[in-house]
Amino acid sequence: MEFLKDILPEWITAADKFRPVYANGLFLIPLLPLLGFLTNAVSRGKLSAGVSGAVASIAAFLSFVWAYLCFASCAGPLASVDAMGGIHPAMKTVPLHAVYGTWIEAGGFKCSFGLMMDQLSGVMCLVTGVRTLIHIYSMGYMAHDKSVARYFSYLNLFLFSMLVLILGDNLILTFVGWEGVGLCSYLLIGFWYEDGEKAAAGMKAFVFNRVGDLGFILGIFTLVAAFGTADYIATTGKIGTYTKPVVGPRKVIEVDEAAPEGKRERLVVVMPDHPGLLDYAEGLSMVSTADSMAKLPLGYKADRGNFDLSGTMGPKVFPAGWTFKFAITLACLMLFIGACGKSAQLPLYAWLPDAMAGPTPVSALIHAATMVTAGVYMVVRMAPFYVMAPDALEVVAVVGACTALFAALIGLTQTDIKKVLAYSTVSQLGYMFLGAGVGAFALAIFHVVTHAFFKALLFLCSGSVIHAMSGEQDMTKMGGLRKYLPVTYWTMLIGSIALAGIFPFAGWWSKDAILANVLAKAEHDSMYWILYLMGCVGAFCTAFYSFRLIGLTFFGECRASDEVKHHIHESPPSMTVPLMVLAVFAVISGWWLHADLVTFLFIGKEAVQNAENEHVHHLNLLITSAAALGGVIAACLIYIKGGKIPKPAQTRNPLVRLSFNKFYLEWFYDHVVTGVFAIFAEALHLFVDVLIIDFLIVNGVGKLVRGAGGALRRTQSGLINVYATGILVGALVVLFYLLRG
Amino acid sequence: MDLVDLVFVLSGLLCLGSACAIVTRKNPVYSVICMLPFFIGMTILFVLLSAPFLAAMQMMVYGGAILVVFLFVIMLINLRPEELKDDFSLQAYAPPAIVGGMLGGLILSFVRHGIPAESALDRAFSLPVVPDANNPHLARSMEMLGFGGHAPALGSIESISIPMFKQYVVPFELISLLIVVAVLGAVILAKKRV
Amino acid sequence: MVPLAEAGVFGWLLGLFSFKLVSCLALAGAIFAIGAWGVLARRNVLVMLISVELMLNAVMLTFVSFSRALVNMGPQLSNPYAAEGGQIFALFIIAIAAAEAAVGLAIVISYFRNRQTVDTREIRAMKN
Repeated sequence: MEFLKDILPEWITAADKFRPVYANGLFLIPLLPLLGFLTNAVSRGKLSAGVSGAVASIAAFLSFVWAYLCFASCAGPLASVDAMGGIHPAMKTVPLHAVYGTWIEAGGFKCSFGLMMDQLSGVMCLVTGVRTLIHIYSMGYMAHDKSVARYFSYLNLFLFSMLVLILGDNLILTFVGWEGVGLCSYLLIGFWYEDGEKAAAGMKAFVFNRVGDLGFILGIFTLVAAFGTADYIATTGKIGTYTKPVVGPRKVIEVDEAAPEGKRERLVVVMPDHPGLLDYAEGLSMVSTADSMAKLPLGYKADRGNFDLSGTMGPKVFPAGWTFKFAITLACLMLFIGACGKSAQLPLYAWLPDAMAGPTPVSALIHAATMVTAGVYMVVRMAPFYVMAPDALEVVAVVGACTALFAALIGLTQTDIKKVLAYSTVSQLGYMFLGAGVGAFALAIFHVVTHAFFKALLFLCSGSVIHAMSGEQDMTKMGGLRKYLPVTYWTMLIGSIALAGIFPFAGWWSKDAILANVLAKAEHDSMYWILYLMGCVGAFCTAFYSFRLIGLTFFGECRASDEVKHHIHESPPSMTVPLMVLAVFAVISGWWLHADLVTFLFIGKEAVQNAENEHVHHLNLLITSAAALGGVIAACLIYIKGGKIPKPAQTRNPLVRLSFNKFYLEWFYDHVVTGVFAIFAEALHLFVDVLIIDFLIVNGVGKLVRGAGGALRRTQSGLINVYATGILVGALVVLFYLLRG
Repeated sequence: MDLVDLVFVLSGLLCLGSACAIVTRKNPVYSVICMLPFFIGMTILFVLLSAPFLAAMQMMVYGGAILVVFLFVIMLINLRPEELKDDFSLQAYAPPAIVGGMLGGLILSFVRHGIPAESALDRAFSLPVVPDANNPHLARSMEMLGFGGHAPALGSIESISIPMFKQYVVPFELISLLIVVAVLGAVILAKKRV
Repeated sequence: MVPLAEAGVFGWLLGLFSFKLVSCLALAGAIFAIGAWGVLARRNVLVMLISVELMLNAVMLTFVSFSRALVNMGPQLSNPYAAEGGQIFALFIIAIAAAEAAVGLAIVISYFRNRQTVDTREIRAMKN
């Protein structure tokens, strides 16, 4: 792992003896932000803005440092096994895993409270490292707000939840973090809750997420019903017992020498392989040979001892009538609904653009870099399941491609600077799911990483612009800011190039590789040609709107009012320094990580790396580069050279109107979906509330009690002796009953 | 019928008689006075049942404290004797009927069936409780208690204190808490309105 | 001891009047019944409290009788402190009786101070 050797000190990578310390200390990673949250929450209003910001930033920074050390230790044994040679890099890492006790135990179901850091969660933790920069940026951005401590406490609570989500070693703990980030997202979107519109945006995000969360929790239930556990390691081990590297479904008799007499032979049902995913299945199948148990990808350990198939297709834990394929497809689809909600995919995307009502650093941290990628993380985390459920994977790919194109088209005509970036985020998330959907799980995570850098950068730049423009977000009222905000201009230009996907900036490496995988897949399945086409059109649109944004904001004449113009100033260093740091990463991260990260994650050997796919790679390179460059050039011609100022609200062009009005999908939600629910709710109100609850239960019980009380009142003499007699008679009755036998 | 039986019967009759007197006297002062022979009878019974420490406690706490407090309260509030109205009512006649039924049921049961055949418990009741190497039951029991070589007799301070501070230490502490609460409650209730 | 019909009155009484476990329990039951009668029949709260003491004493007598029997059952019991346990419980009952008497009498005093009566026929604020 070359890139790790660059960034890790020798003494960490070499010292295996520190591993238990890091493993048991994993809880510190989420704990530190929690402490920051508590400090800010308890001392609300007492700490000055600077102090509460510093507390939050230091908590975030220390947590990042510890996560970095743990990650280094997790990847540490690499150095010592390098000498063995010929082993896949991912197999050399050993995940850190600490179980802090049993959390839920009910019947045969058991859920431990454990944290796990493997390659995947380690990379995600480091991505969350953008947080420190955003905390520092926030100290400048929120300096004049009246409730800074509340802001920073929410921010730290968010970090805590996100880290629990990432580090949890089972789906249920992940779900806790999942809900936690949803809550923080709601709190931060509606941070300025005096503004009714912003509060409503928070509510909208919450409701949309709730729809997704329902799917997520149903997915968890399905998994628990089918496999009896929600633990990542255990469930993956159980899948391993089903898998063999063969093509086509068949049944195999497997002989297990270690098993007790009479149970040695068992029927293993092998699922048909998904073309292009053979490599991953091969990786999984190593579970079934005892000597290579440690060589599982993602650090999963085989756990076959407690899973006896007893010669039947469905193990006993399966509900009646379920097959393995049905269970796993259902679970994957349900989980994907959860991912759709959290990662703003069609049809649950609508909350993310509105979420831009929150403070801009929040948009950068939560609604671009970290939280919205939780869905991608979860899908990749469940990759062993998804490869077993090709139908579910197809759904993921289709939804991802549709979202990528759809959001990019909307982004073409928006005038609010943050809305453009929001739709861009939705679109990029679509690319990630497209990547995951064609089996390129590692590339999806790679895109998460690069996207985190450049999208956080873009958001922070837009925050800097908004800060300079005294809160103005409409791009048609900006223009010519290049000479006022040089740092912001240059960093934002870098971010836009990265977003547009121009070689060699970060976005190119990941997006190009994902599309190459789609293309490789299209050779097996013609449906993927359509997806590939959608991806390429989306890439063109991405390049177009990102340079449209640059053109409208930084070039041409300044269209702001004189009063605003008078106040335009470059932001303070606490805001510009994070911009510069992020800009550096936006340039280099793709080139730096592209070769290593993917092999490091080893979630499928990617098609693009296979020698026989070289021509696919070249073809794709041509197409995507043409799309991106075409978009950039078109935008430059129209908006920088042509100086066009869009007025989408007044235009008569039906296509522009369609895009500007978000394809009327939100209108559909507002009127049709809400209308149906309103009728349903009214019926429920009349039948359940008014009739059953109010009339029968609340008033009915009251009347019954009142009537019974009035009747029984007459039996009360008020004489204590009579009451005591009652007690004695009761006692005697019980006594005789007991002595009766 | 040896001496023990005689003492038992006499003290039992003393208890029963004074209990009846307590309940039947119209003037509460007499009732309280009648408590004294009742407690004396109980004390003798406890001694017979090899509980000398308990007997002492009974005499001290009941005879010395509770009885005096009752007497004191009666003097304090200076009651007139109770006058039972001679109206027939359920409230007046149901209790004696029930209690009479209880006693009658007890006696009837003894008359009909006799006392159940002698059980191990009955035999054990009649064995001596003084430590004795010739009594294997008792010796082992004392050994189990952890008294080692010399075993104290049942009911002595030593034999009671060890389990009280070992096995029953939690109830013991809870009782002390209860008494504190009761004392505070009594003070607050009886205090004149501030 | 045998049924009255077989033993005759004298034999029956002799059996009842000897120092045996059942005799002690019968005595305790009788005292308990008398105390219950007092609680139920008397109208004076003070006498009712005294009757409660009678009932508590009856229970103590039961505990101590069984303690006397259990001390010789040592090896057959799972609890080595079974015998002492009876006496300790009797001690606890004394303590609780003291607490009950203190609180009960305080209530009586407090009530008497306000209403000048401790007759339950006049303490019936809860009627109907």
